[in-house]
Amino acid sequence: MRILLLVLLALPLAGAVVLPWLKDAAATAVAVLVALTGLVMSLVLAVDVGTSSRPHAVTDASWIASLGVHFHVGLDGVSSPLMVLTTLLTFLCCVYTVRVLPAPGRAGQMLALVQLLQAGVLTTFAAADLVLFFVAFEVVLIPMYFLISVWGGGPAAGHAATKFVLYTLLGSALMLIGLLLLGIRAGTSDMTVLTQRHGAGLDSASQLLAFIAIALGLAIKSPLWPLHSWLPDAHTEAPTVGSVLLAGVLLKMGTYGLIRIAVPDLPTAAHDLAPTLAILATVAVVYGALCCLAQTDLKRLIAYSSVGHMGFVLLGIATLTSAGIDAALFGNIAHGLITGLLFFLVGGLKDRHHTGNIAAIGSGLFLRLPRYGALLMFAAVASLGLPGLAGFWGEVLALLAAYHPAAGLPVALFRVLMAAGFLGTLLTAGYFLLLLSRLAFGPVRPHTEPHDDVQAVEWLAWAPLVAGTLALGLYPRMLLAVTHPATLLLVAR
Amino acid sequence: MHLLYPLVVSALLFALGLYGVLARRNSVCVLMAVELMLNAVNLDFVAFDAWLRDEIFHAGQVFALFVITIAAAEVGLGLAIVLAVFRDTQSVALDQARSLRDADPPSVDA
Amino acid sequence: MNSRLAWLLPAIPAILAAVQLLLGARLPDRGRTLAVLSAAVPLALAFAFWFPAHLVATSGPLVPGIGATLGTGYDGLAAVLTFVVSTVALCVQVFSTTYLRTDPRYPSYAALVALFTAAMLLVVVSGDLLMLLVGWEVMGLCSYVLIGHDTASPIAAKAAITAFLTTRFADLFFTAGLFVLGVGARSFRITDVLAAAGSDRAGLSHTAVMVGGLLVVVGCVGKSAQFPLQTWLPDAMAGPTPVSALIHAATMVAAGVYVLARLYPLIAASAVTLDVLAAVSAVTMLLAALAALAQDDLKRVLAWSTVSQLAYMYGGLAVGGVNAGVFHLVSHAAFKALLFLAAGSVIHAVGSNDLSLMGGLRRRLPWTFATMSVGLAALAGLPPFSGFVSKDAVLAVAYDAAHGGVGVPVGRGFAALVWVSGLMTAGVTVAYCLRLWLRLFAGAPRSEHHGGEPAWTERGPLVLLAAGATVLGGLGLARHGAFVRYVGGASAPGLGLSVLQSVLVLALAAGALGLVSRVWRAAPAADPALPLLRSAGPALAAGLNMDVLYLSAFIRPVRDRLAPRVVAIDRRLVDGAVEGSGRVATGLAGALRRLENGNVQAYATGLAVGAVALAVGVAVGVGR
Repeated sequence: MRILLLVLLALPLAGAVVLPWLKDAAATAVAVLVALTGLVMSLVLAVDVGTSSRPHAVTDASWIASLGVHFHVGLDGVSSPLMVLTTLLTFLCCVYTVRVLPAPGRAGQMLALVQLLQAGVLTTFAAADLVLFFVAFEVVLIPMYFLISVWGGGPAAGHAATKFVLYTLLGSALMLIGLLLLGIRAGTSDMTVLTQRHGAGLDSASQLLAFIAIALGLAIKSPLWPLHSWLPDAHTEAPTVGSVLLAGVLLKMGTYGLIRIAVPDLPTAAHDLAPTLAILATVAVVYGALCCLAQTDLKRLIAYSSVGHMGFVLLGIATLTSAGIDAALFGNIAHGLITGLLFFLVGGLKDRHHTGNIAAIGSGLFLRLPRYGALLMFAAVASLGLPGLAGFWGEVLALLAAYHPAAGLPVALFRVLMAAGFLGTLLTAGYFLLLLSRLAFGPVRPHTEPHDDVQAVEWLAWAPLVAGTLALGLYPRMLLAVTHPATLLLVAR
Repeated sequence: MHLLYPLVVSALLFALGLYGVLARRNSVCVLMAVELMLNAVNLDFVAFDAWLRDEIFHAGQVFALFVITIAAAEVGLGLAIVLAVFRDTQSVALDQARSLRDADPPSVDA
Repeated sequence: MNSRLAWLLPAIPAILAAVQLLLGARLPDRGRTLAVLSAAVPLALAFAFWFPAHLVATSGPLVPGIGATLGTGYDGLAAVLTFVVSTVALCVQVFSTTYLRTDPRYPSYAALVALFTAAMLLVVVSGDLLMLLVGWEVMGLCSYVLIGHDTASPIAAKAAITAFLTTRFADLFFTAGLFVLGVGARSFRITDVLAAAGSDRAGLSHTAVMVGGLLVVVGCVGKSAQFPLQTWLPDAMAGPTPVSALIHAATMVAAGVYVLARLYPLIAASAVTLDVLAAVSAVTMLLAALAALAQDDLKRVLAWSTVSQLAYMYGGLAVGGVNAGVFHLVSHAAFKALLFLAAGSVIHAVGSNDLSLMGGLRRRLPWTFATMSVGLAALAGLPPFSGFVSKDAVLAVAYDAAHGGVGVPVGRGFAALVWVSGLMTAGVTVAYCLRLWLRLFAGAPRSEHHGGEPAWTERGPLVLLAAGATVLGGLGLARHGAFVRYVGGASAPGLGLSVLQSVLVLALAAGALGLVSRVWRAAPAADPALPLLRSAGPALAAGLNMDVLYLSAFIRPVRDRLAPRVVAIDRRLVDGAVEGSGRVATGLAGALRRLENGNVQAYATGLAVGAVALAVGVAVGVGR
């Protein structure tokens, strides 16, 4: 299994080296194959990890000996689901590229960037060393910058890409300070050891400083209100594949870092700052929903809905209970599946109509493109948290965790936040229904050009997301049984 | 001989050179002023070498020789550039050779 | 058959719904067989399970760490509901095979009805509160989609959103209530929660029982369209009529009654909960009945009457009559599904919902006339039809409770309120039933007719439901002991009727009959409700305009004022800070650019000044 994990991390890099030299068709085929191999390997690894709580497939080699930095990777119940999500979404993006290649073409280069991105994300999720984590975290920025600025195509793509990179780099700089502070004060950069210590030997002042720096950096990535404003721009300008990966994978790195580093390694500071984090998260939920209500652009709307959904994830983390962190991990996966699907769908609509404006696309999708309308409706109701679909469990378990947060946290405050979170779910339902009534319901406007309904490749790329949303929604234990043993270790005192 | 004399002469030479570099418009004069400054430094090197009685290495004298060599090369190169500029613009006025300035405002895009 | 297999009840319709959704349009019969099977199989299973003598529960893990389980619980109460749901669903599916035969979207329609059946059965058999919530919300989704079945109609889309959002609003309270109960009891299993509510020491505190119970009641109020959340149900009539019969009359809107009956020991442990429930039901039943009297739209009459009848059920529960409440649910399901399906036939024949275009349909639609008359008689509570027995049972318990004669802590004043309001509502109900009957069937036809008598697939369900509406009352009385044992336990008040009260109700009914028929005789072509209601008519017809109130008080301010403002704040303030920092940086850089003028001597001057400053600085520093 060790070898398998190393191969999984190296394979996308190899793909990224080879792909730019291939012609479009060959590059797409190779990329699909590479991504499929990665998906299979990550599934095997996830099955191997199973419901065990200790790390699997561990490799620990000295990397920068003078600094005591190791190339230390491994998988446990927190990281294995995210790893599968990453390889799945990458695979689906590669499949989707078979049909839709955004201007200016050059499939090989674009898919190489996607592979590079995947390598960075996978290493982030596998890393068990602070420095390795940081390096992998940063690797992701570059390919995403080029995906947005080159393949985005819109007039403001360059602006959005620059904003994305600069904003997240600011976060990274802060996070680096925090990680170094943590590593130096604790005397080790090994995350496994740090987690086992639960902050023992760290005075509360340095914990607080390190937590603030790390959490700020990760909060920009997550994104947490009010540090979210790069997200709508980046999503609006990114190509469909970029949006899917950005929402489905990149945002998860922020919350993953909080769960993996900030909360278990700096427990005292986490405890002190949890109410603040929870308040900001709840504001994000309500604020994101209100922003969605007044959006006119499809992709921007989904981007703001991501802000709201990640608010639930962060609320779950802020409760500092294993149930809350379970909820956060579940919310991460569910959001990856559902919002990935939503971005595929709105990207497809944008490609067909050459506009992302809701009014310009027009109503009557059920009559014009019945299958497309049905899929859009499925994704929308999944995203608004309908029970029986994946989105529900992430939200409801986060709210449940907020109803009884960890001992010592202000219960009354968290219950008020729970009520506000409920209000947020109502507003979420409101804007998604409004969206459906504007797009899916209603008559077909006269003189609407005919468009293709869902194509075979699109079915192939989207069906796994639909199936995953249904499966997790109907049997949440499938995922919770994997995460729960690991999250128990993260919050144990 | 007291150290002060060569140092005062050197400082005067350097100031003269600095004035020439900053104030003269003629490129050839500026190059000559640079030579003055270099030679002011040379004078310092030699003076300190003698004052410090560095019998083994004579580091100050060695550095003075270095500077003389490099100054020769620099003058050759500098005059070549001045000639090239003159051929191009029919002028050796330094303040008119501004083609490397930051001309067009860059797109304000952050 | 072992009722541990109760999970099959929701599973089979759900699977059939999925198959129907994916393949229905390609099947030769467009999935009609699958659709009928999705209700017939649960009905067959209900017969196979029959009525278990006690709760048969299964349990498996669902969510680790919080005590949520994946389990079923099947007892007599669940069996009663399973019979009701699957029978009505079967009638509706059979009816729909011909009623929607020309509709191109029949396959997805039938799949959603099947999915709804699955969700409702999940609510019925669920042994865990979170599982119940799943079924509860999926019902809401099916309701939303089916109301919007006519996707081209903006009215339908709007009604669908209203319905979903109103019920969702209430469901948030419901979910919070489940949190309170589940966290307090450290388990979401219904049996555990009830056990924890019963024990004083290790279980739920009295506050938790009260708060949790109240929150759950709010959820039920929304789902059942009770005051003040009643506005969505009349609008929901934009959906196809069979859907109204199944979802918005017989089952989904009554699911709240079932949930409260399921949790009854917990609900009845708190006087506050019962008082609130009693007040809500007393207000709703009378208000909705008056609104029904004022409607001009056939389906809206029935919708308001549903609201009113559901309030009877809640009234029964509030005063301790869990048996009477559930019994009214059963009989109401039969006669109201009948009335809606018959209304569907009428609407097909007339081509409109408008009562002023109907009249004189007795000859043209004899089957519909006969069955609908039975349904209206049952609704009006005329003996011997089922509505008479179940409604009087509710009123009898309310009367007892007003005298402190039942074992629940409901306030006697509140119980008396339910009783008085119930009596008045009974009179109004008779009036609107007679008015509807007269407007539909009596007199001369008021428009050209499009169609004739329905096909046998539509007649069959009508006759079956009419039989149910006729005999269920008597059956309930005859099998009274068994019913009480299944539903509320022998300790709860039964279905006893008091002769004196029945006489009183019948006298009221006779008075209402006389009043309406006198008005009608004076002007047979006119609407008899107009002179009765006078100036209150338009306000009642609009449901006291509460939907307009909600629209202007909550929805418009949020959607049209708050949301755009938040977007503006987001752009100017939150994003403005980010963009502003970028602009400040480029602005500063622009200021520095000015120095790069290309004059080498200027650069050299700067260099020299800097070097001198450094030298002076170092010298001063060293000197110190």
